[in-house]
Amino acid sequence: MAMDVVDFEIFGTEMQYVEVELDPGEAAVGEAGAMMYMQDGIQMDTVFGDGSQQGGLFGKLLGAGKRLLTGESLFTTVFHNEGDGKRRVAFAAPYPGKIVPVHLAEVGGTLICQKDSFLCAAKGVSLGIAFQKKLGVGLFGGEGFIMQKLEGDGWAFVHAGGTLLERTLQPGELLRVDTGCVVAFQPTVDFDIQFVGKVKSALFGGEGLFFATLSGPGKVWLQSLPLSRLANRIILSAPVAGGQSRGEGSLLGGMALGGLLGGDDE
Amino acid sequence: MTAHFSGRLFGPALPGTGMAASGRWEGDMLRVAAGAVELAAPAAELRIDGAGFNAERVRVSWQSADGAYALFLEQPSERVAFNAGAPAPVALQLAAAGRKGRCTEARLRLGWALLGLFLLLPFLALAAFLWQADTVATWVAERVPPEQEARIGELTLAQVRTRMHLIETGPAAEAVRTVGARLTAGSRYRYRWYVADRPEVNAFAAPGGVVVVFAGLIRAADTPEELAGVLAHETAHVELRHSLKGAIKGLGLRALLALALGDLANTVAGDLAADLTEMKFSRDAEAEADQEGLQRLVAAGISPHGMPAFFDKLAKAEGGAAPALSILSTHPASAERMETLRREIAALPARSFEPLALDWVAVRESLVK
Ligand SMILES: [Zn+2]
Repeated sequence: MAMDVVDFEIFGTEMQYVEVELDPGEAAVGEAGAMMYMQDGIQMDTVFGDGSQQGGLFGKLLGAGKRLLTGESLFTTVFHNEGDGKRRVAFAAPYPGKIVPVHLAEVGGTLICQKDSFLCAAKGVSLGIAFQKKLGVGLFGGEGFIMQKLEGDGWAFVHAGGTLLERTLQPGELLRVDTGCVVAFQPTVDFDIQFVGKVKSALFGGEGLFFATLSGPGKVWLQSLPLSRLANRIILSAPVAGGQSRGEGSLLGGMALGGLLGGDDE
Repeated sequence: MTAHFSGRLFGPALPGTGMAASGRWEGDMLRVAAGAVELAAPAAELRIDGAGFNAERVRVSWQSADGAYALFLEQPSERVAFNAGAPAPVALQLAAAGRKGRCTEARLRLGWALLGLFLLLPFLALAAFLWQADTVATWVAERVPPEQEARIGELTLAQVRTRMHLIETGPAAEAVRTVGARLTAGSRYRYRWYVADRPEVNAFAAPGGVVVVFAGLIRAADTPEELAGVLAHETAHVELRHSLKGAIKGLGLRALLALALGDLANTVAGDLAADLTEMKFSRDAEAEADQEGLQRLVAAGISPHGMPAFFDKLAKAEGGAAPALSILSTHPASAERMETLRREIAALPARSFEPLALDWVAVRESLVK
């Protein structure tokens, strides 16, 4: 199916939002909680699954099941322009950082991104769940285990916390990063988890023991401030911690377990 | 003319995000074109493997004079087209690359299965316990040393004290102690006898020899032999470790439930006393306790007729507005059970029993308010 062509504009420097312009009949999908405002004439519609029209009923159910399993909302919000002129809807970044526009056609039609990073996309871009199938990631790097797969040829917007780093890796070029710092990458990039350090420091230190390795070729987007790191710092310094610590590299991946047992709804 | 296949080409002089490319075989030579870039590589220099996210894609890579190139085949149809014209060694490498992806997949499935098992384990244990509760409880009960049983008794007693007032002196407490001591002479347990200041007709025995008789029961007994019958029955539950088995069953379930629900804190110990006052034994256990109680009465030289007489009386009073006859709900006095008891008493060698030397009127009056 043809993707809707979307014009957009990004505002702000550190606390950004993106304004997406929709022609009559065009639509965008986004996480409901990310919407900032919309002009009169735009209808908000909550759809079961991921909002893409592909796959039939079974495909939709499967998509919804995966979303349930990963602790995400079963529904996606679609923003239609029902008016007779161009209308705008804006989505805001959840915390300081940069909004990254990715034109999916330019990167080969698919983008793998961190579950929390997705902001919005042109309707027709399918939002899937991509489990990291290498077991080490699931067991030791909670944050890289459940990824989101964006497919289509329109614009998709992801959010990078803190400062954004864009790198293109040559074939065979390798980059070691903290699992939480990965925002998105092309699917030609091999993503794996490596244990770095000694067992002793694993038992007594606990910090920075697992690294993601990204090997080229392909483009990768990294963030300097993962949400989990920010959240942990805030919780640690809060007098009464009401939240839950969300590990970057916790054993058995808090995400996976959280997702299975209901999880937190972000 | 061989089939064309499309993919995404990465390499020097190409955009970092790669470029859509088209390839074809020309004999042993792979020819790839992406935009203005045209490349050729001999089959012998190609390396083919599963690569990218989850090793889902087939990567054909080679080294040329200006650097490393990689062509990614994404769709299965492209792989088929690539394979169609490929020389034999290349086809072999391609098959191996496919296996790598499937291996990753299999390991993932195993991982999910293990995680699922890990999460289900407490529930499986619970199911197994429910299924085999009696066997498990008996097995555990047989391995609890008497000292440990006594400690469970102490714990229960402490809990009972917080729930009801215990009368420890006076004619009633004295009477229960005297009769109890006769029934349990030579026992491996150190018995402690108490009268609870409560109107219900009830009595219970905690593991390790803590026996509590409610004031209501003493008031309902017409003779000390009737009290002795109840005490003999309760004592039998202790001696046969029915109470211990029941407590283990109750605690075990609770402990497992707590584990399954992820709440291990303080749910276990606290409710033990409540359980014991309401503990129900199986029909077999009741019959066994009757038998054993009967033996103890006879051995102590106390007339056993009081036992069926007391339960009969309660069963008759049950229809009316009798005070809460809790003892009947925990030790159901079925007609069948009493029938058996009477038959067994009749079968005993004829002998006369001396009445218990207790001032029963004074005992009952001491409890009247
Ligand atoms: Zn009984």
